[in-house]
Amino acid sequence: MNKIININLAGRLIPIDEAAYDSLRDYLNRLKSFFAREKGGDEIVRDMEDRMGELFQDKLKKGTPCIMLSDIDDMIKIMGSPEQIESEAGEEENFNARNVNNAKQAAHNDSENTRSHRLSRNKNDKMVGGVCGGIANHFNIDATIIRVALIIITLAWGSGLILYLLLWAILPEVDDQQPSVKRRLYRNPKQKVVGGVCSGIAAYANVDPIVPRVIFAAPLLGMIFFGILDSGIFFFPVLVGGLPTLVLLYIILWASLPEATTVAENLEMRGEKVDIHNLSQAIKGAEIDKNVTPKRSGLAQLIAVAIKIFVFFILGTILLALGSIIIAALMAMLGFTSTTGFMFPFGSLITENETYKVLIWVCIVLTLAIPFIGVMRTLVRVISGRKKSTNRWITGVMTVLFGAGVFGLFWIGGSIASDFKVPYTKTYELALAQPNNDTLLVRQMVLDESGILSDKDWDREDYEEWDNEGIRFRDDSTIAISNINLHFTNSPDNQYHLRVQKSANGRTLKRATKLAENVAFNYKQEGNVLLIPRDFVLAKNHPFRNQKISIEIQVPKGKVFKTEGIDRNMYTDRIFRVRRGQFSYETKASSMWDDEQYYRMGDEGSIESLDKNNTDTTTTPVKDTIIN
Amino acid sequence: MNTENTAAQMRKGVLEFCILSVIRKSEVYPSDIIEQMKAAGLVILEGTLYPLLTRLKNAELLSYRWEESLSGPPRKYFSLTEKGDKFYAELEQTWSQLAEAVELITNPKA
Repeated sequence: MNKIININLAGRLIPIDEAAYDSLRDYLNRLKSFFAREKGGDEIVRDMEDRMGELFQDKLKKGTPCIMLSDIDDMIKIMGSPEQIESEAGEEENFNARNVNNAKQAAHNDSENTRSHRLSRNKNDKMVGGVCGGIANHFNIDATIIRVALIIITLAWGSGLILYLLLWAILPEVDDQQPSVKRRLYRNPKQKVVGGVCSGIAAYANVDPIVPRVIFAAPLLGMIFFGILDSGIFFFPVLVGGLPTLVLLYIILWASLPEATTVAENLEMRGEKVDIHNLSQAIKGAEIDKNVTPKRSGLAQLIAVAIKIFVFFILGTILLALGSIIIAALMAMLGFTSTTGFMFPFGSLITENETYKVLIWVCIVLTLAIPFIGVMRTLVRVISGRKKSTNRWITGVMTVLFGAGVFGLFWIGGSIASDFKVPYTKTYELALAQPNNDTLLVRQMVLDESGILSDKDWDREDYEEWDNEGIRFRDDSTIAISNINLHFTNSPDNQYHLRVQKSANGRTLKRATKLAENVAFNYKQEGNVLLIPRDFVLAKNHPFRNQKISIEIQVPKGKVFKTEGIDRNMYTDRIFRVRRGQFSYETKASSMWDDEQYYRMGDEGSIESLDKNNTDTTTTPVKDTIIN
Repeated sequence: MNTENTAAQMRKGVLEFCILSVIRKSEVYPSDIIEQMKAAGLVILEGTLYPLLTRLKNAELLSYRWEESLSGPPRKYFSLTEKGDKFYAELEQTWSQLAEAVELITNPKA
């Protein structure tokens, strides 16, 4: 069924079929543009319309109900196409003018061709200096590819940047006004499986879309196949390394390549010249495409579906992994207890103030994430090559947030620093039973998992297990720090003494006093064995403010002491100071005593080491003195 | 090089002359001109006629008047102006000289 419309052709009413109408209108437009440059051109066309109307009316009189496409064709045969008219009736001057125009056009094309053969910088297609645009023009490749290659070279070997600067300085700048016949790399939204990246590449390189898809999916497929076959040791690392790289490359291309939505862009994507003729053909082709589904072989379709499933599966897994990481980070940030509890303890180490803890994490995230996002955005913009106007609002907001993050960190840092202003130290004399054989054994206390004194005896194995942890995270979410040091000194009398210095810092003396007094020093004595702890526990809501325990064991003259399992760290004094808003940390080493070695305190505090098998009557072999 | 181009050039040269000749005989409208030329054996595309007519009119060699017709819209009737007359006379002379020369060249009398 066709649509008939009535037209007024130079005063005559003509019923005409819709398709014939399109053809007629097209012909008339061509005539109009052909005679446009001629004096009285409209009159000519009007006269011709008049004649056409006459011809149509004759046909209608003969019995045709309306003018059809074939009638239009007949009419054009009689009247002639603009080109035919040109050759029959072309005026001398027009002929000359046409020749001159052709000559000019040819010369123009020639000069442009020579221009693109010389390597130059392209003024029109530039992001930074136009180097990539010039190279792309010279080789007739899309500038985006050159930019991606340059970035990859820079990231991998670093020399890309120097090369770019060198070319920028050397190459002359050329203003290329030529409308781009070169091919541009687009994403093809009409034939997309995931993002249309592969079909865009396929259209650009003039291959079937299956080819780039296989390339992108190769590592994944290879992993699966080789995993099943359990062979190909050589390929495996290549594939494992290749998969994340290709996925990343795909995502970058997806973000940076523009979609070929308009017909003109579609033509550019396929590398065809964008002029009226091609455009109209492309539009017609596009309409036909809509009706005809492309027939692909069964195998190709199967592979396409399989690839689709794999891609979605992989992307889904990645998203899940990312999501769970983000959720875990958020939970830790908000202070939920977890067995790993990585971030939480650090928070309470720094401050007991809950608000501060949140603020610290927010500021850290802002300070780190925003530059990262900024760099990503710039990278994407450089790759895409299109100077899309950057959203000023976004940049402004990002800068403000970044500044707020940095400022917040500094402010919190200053606030915490002032917490260390005032130091306080208190010395206690603790009860110590005198050993009955004039030898005091100082042994490391062994705590099991939950911090309770274990039944085991201390032995070498446990000792080696302890690495130099300064901080231990206990199960009940408190923290123990090993800021303890040990000294052996001369006793003023003939008794062993145990003196302990507890110190801490605070914003005020009152706070410092409270913190120092709250330091728990748990020691134990069993016979002549003094068990001292490795660390002490910071009570909940008591942050680290340089709490320290200094143990002084006074040994009387002529008496002996021996250490068992005391780590060398115990002999280092860690001094943590805040002066005028600056942190300073220094270590002071005091006398170190070998482990498992008897020492006798001599005159004037000099200490001599004793042989194990010393037959001195004042000493007794080790075994007898161990009391359980 | 094919004959079409040269042949077209030959025809193009005489077209204006022929059209002026037809109009000179009597006042005519465009499709009339086509008919007469067809009858004489000179077939041209109708589309060719119109630009030629307009150019001749713009050169003030032709003039036209509108005449109402019974069947349809009014039609243009063309006639030669005085200038056109003089122009035609010159062309006629040119043509006869040319025709004679060509005849002599192509058919030399022994």
